[in-house]
Amino acid sequence: MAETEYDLPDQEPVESDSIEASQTIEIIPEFSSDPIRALGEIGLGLEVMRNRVSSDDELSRAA
Amino acid sequence: MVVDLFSKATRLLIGFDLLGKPIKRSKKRPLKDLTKRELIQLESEIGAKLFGPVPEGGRREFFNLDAKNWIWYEEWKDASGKAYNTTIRYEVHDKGVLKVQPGSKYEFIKGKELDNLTLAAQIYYENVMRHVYKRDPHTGQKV
Repeated sequence: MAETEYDLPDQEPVESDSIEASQTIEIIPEFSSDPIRALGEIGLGLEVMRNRVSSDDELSRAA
Repeated sequence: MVVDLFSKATRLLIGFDLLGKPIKRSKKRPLKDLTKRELIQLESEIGAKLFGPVPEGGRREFFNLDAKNWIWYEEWKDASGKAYNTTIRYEVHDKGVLKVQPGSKYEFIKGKELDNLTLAAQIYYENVMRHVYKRDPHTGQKV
């Protein structure tokens, strides 16, 4: 895996529904230049987004 | 068979089966009605495509599980057709990123592997924000 190239292939957009227009989403404008911090920031950003969007906390119950 | 392997691996590693329950999406069911697991399934569809085509007979998954964990799953076959698979969890700690592999193998990654993982995570974030959550990843505005 270490030598894997991360070229992004052409993708078909995932068809999903939009978040309600009234929702305000805080986005991380720029990630840290430190890779470890950046990974943490990205993960946290995604977790925050899911928490705001999801209907329940099923995952945390399952964990 | 292939699906079974992935199901077992993910259940063992993350506590649920990503393939266990297909997501039914429609205009009548906006994202806010989806569970976190279902959202991760949507994200995983994008993560699987980040690394280019998967060899025939193989399978790949890459997704963010939570604030601290990233999951890589890969299946492949050798020349004789024998199937292999591996699941790797990357745990983000303050002092580094711990790579957890089957067989109780643990190591902090560094160098090119760490850089590649970070780059993949950034591309994942940008694509997921745009294509799953329909948000500009830089501004948060609807797209």
